[in-house]
Amino acid sequence: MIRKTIFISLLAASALLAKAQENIYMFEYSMGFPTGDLRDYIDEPSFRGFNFGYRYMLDENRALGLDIGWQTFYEKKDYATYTDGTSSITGIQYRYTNAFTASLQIDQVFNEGSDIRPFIGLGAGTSYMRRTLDMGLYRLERDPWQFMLQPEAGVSLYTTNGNLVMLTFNYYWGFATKQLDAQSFLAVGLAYAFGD
Amino acid sequence: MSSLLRNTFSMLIGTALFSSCYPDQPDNIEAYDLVYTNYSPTYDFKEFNTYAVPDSVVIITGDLAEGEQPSKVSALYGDQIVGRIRENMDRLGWTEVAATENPDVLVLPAAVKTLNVDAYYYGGGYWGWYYPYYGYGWYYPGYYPTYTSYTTGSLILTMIAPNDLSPTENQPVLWVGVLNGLLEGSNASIISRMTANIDQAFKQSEYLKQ
Repeated sequence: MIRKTIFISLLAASALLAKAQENIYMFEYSMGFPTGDLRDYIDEPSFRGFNFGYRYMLDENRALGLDIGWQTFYEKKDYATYTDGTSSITGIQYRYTNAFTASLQIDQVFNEGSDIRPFIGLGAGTSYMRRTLDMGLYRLERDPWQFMLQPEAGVSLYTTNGNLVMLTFNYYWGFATKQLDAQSFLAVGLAYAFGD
Repeated sequence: MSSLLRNTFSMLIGTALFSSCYPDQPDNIEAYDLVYTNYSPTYDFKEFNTYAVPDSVVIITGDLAEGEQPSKVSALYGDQIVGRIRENMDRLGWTEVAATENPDVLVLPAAVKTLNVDAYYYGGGYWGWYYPYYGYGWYYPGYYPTYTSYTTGSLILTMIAPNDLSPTENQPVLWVGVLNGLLEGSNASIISRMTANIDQAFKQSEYLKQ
């Protein structure tokens, strides 16, 4: 009984502590799922991604912050012939896209006072999309900076020590440039965050 | 000492980042093999019937001095290359004739072992020793061989029409095939890859069929 009371007290205290946090720092592992032109190029999910996020709580329900991240997409294409006009080339292709993203985010957080708090947000920033094609001894590369929008949604779970475990869904929507069509992907992330 | 540690640490991070950004790389020699072909759309290959091919393969090494003869690939490889070209041309319905019998086209094999060569630079100068009447330049009618920088380990097959001179007396390149890869492995392995890639060059060029 005493143990249960202590546990509930700690939980309540952590919720209060969480509410008092103004700065939140987030470290996230993410999985990427390519869409659009990126999917045409690489039709495989990525399990190599990492993000860092910072949020400043404007009040109990709104946050401003910054996200930076990196996601690597990769696909090996079997030995095949690619024809363009009169030219044909045959070989094995190794395709890569390294997406480096940075955005300013604004979030709306729901369920004030609860330990489980869903949120939605929108960000704008840039993505550096490094697209690499290795074929034989040759490497072709394009690496545009694209303007990027980043809508996000997720849910935060406050732990007993006042830190957070978060499940996030981000859509990285880079806009087309002369060098490369619009590059986009959906990322599902699992994050650990703490505040002060 | 501390700078050594710092450099080592930087190298480790760099290596880790690089391998993370490019998670899988070719793990065998064959995976580096490439076969490129291109052709002139302004010619109908069915208008040509006879071909000639030299009995050896020259090695492109850069500028040749006046009267200098180019080096040749050893017969071990050269015979295989020329033989495979013949097999494929015959399979596609062409008839081989001697170079002196006025062939419709010449198929010229050349190897690049140790340098980068530009297709235009390569031109026809290397064949003057073989075909004494030769002395013209080349041009690419109606297409541009984008694959013009031939690097170490390339075999270039060039099909020209020696009788079809342009107003500037250049000979048209009707077809070009470039096989590129690492020159590593046993002789048998190199020959096996080379012949397979020659076959592939013709396989992806079925428009050559008579």
